[in-house]
Amino acid sequence: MSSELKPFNRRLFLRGALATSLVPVAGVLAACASPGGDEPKGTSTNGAKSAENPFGLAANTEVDAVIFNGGYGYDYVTFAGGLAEAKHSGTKIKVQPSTEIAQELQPRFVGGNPPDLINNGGAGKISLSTIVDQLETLDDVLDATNYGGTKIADSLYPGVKLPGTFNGKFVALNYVMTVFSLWHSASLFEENGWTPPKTWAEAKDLGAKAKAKGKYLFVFGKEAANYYQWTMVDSAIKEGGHEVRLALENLAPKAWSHPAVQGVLKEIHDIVRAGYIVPGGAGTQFTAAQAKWSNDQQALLYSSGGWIENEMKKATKAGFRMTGVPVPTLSTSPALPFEALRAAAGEPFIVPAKGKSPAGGKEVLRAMLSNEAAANFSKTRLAPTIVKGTVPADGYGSTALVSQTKMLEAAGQHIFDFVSEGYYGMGADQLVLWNSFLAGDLDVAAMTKGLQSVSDKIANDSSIQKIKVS
Amino acid sequence: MTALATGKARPATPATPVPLRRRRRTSRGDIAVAATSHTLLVAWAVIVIVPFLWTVMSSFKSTGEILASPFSLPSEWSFRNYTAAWTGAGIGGYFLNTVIVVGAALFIVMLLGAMCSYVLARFRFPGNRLIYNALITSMTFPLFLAIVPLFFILRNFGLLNTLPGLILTYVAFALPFTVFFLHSFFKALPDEIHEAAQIDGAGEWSTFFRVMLPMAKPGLASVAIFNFLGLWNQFLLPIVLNTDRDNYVLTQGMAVFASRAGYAVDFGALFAAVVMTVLPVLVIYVIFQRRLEGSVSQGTFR
Amino acid sequence: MLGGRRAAKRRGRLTFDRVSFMAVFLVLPLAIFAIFVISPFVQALYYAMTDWTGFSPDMRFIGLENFVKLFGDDVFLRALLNNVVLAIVVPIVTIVLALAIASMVTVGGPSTGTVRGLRGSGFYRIVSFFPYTVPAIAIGLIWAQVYDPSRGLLNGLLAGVGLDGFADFPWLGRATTALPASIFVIVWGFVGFYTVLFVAAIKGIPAETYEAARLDGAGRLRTVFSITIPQIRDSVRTAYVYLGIIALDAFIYMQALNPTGGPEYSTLTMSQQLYMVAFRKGQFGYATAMGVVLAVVTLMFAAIVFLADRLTGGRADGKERT
Repeated sequence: MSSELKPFNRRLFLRGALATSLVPVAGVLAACASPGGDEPKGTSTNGAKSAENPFGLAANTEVDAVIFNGGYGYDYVTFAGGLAEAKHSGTKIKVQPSTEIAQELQPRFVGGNPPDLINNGGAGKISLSTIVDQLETLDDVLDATNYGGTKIADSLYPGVKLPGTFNGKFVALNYVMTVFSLWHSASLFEENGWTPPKTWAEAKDLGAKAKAKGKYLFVFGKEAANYYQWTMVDSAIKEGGHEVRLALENLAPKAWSHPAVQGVLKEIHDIVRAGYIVPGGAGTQFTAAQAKWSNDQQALLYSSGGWIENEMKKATKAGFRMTGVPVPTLSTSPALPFEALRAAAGEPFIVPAKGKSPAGGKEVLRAMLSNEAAANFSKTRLAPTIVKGTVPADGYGSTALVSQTKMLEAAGQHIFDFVSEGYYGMGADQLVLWNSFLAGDLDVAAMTKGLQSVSDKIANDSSIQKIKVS
Repeated sequence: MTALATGKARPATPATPVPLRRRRRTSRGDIAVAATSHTLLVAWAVIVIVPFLWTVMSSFKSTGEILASPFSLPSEWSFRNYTAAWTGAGIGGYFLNTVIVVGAALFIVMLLGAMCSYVLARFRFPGNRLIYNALITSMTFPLFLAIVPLFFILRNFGLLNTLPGLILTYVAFALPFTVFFLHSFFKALPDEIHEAAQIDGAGEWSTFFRVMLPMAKPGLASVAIFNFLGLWNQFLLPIVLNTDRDNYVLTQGMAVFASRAGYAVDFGALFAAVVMTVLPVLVIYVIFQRRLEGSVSQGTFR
Repeated sequence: MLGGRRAAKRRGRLTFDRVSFMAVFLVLPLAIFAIFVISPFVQALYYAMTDWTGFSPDMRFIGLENFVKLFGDDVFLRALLNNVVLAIVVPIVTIVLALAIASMVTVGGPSTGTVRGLRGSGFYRIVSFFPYTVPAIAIGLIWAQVYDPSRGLLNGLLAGVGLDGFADFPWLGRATTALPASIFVIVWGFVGFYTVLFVAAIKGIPAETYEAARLDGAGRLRTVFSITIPQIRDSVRTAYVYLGIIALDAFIYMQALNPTGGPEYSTLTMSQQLYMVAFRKGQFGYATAMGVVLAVVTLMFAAIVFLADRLTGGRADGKERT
């Protein structure tokens, strides 16, 4: 049972995600055989299906949704739930927040009474490889019409199925467009006449300038040190091209020894040794560390996904024009241009097959994909959703949102994603290494050995189902 | 584990200085020793108290102030963080749940524990030793190991995510310690009393409830206090067996809130929630500390 | 014991009163115990021999494969090592501190007149017991904040007295200090409790014993070693076992202080790794096997303590000399 993520789709994916250029979604992931023995889902109660009720939501259903209460909060789902309740009178949508998804829901999965809809996010998320067989496929959600009467698939950016498709099964709908980049305050940079670095050499120069001002280049927190792995991997992929990405994703032996990876690791190690990183990160809670960047402006740059603006709303200095830039490149002639970007639909929503009302879970997704709910999300969370045309040009006054649009436009077709870390749940082990590496306790060789052994452990464990990324 | 000591000598030393205090000459050595001792004890007292005081102070600061400096005083002493934690974390409801669960579990485990240890301590029958040893050994098992099967057991009884289910589990896991502790008490009670009661025509039931149980009061009091603290602070069992938000107990709500406060960058509310969790028990302790220490010193914890 | 021997006589007379009494008194508690404590542990033994993910109803029996895998798992072995360190250090430090405080507040007073404690001993006792009333999770959260490198209490104080080198020192973020710092938190939480217990035990020692020693010219320190410790030996042993069991778990403290296992896994405990493997990685069978190892280690620990006690002259029946 192996299928693959289609490459052309991946690269085109998101092209013009926010620039509203239409790319035909060609050959969407023909599902191969569905995994061994689909269990009959006789437990769920269904009503009659119709255009208005495409999943056959039974009357007076109580729908149970558990939503990761992280950077984006959870009330945007409550908002969408309200829309669904208005559409199907008698239906009740119960939205519960959680920050420890796996721990809270594991018993419910085992017990056969999982919720109807889950936003599987945060450090405590369930590694999808363990539950992929117990999830509803969501193709019918995209086939349904939205609350405005348009077919949902047509209202979304192309390629959104990709990051939620495993071994040919589309099981996770990723709701938020997430761009991974380096973030800074455009206002602070202007004041000081600094420019965001395009290469690691420039980054080191900037580090020296920061030091002269009593500041630092980067900051990290203990739960999020591996955010810099994203910076490192993205930079290495840009340098060495997709072969680097595929080797890492498919857990190839010696993947972390690729010259591009080694080059970037060395640059970061130089930065660590030069003292350009705020000390004490390995002992600092991550949002407190992030506040040293957004509030105290002790550090110039921070590596994160697009959720950072919303996450740090309460601890961001006034006048901090938060702006994202692509990660630096190693050489001046990388395989992919500087503008190349890791971006993907993020924030996965899944519908367990054994829930009381999978139809209800899907109906909430349908509500979330309505223009009204998507616009509400972008406006209140300052992040784009996968629904096209719901973000105005001024990005609701958010510089971060505008910069994401710009980065995506500039990247054009050079957009890629990186999924193995989350799929296999390797983050926890890599995190330990990154804390040590950024604290200066590991050199490049030891770091490489450590990262490789994390990958090898998964690769050599026959009990773990692998995905093939291409 | 071997049998517990019984029939210990009553303390010959009064705890407090003798009331009639005469002037004594104090040697220089005494002064030096006293000075050193006091220094050490004061140092430890400071190490204990200061983190609490700092937590209380921080709970009044805004998150911005907390991030800025560890020592700055709050610019205004407002209860903003407390309202945020009270509503955001739902401390009030969790508090009530905890009182219900711990109260009920405590009562049941004390009763069952006393009954069980009484029989084990005073009746001879085949398997007595085996049962006692099984109870004692189970105290060393990591709770983690039992968690998942326990989940299924509760589900099969329809007790999952219910307060009665949690209560019953608390009782089961507090039982071994209770029996272990009370065993020596019942063993130490003079046999003559039992015989006297029987001669008076009392059956086993009334002998236990009217005569033996009251005599074990000191032991019951101390084990009740240990059980109370243990159950009040229990964390792992509710986290897995009690996932319905409305049924959360305090420690659980606290952990969830802490996790949330981390994501929401709300350190002020985190400190406030900690203070609200700690304060009630601390106050109860300060009020009852004399009784608690009295009963601990009567307990045989060996 | 008198009671026990006499009780033997009572055997045999099977009246309804006695039978119903035994049934209710023994069977009811034991039924609850068997269902909720024993049976889960037994079931766990089975899960440990499956490849269960924890999220699906199906599992495959794989024998001892998980255990074989365990002993090649360097992260788990590191956690095991950390736990052994914890089980040795936490009890020793806690007991030494608690004994010192207990001695000072009971018999540390002036060397003349009645044997008694220092002045103000009640205050010290009350204060040192404080942390025991605080839920472990709250203790962990408080200390996680205290240890924060830049806005925590500890570095604030150290920098305040001129030790600027500690301004940003990550106590929980250095492989060398993370474990000691975590151990300190656990010790902090338990010293008061054991102080109170030792105080009770010391008060059980007849004052004449101390007075006799004093007449023989024994100093304070010598009385501690020659009288106090031998007399309350069994209390110390039990305290050691209890603290060891706490240290072998330590989950809540470690999870609050360093949920990621600490720098280079220096504070990772078996229970944390178990939790991570079970919930984050979805390998429940494997995690349960870790739990079995943890149980075995705990039992071994208790056995070693008792054996060591016996070999060094402790009394087998646990009775104290009075």
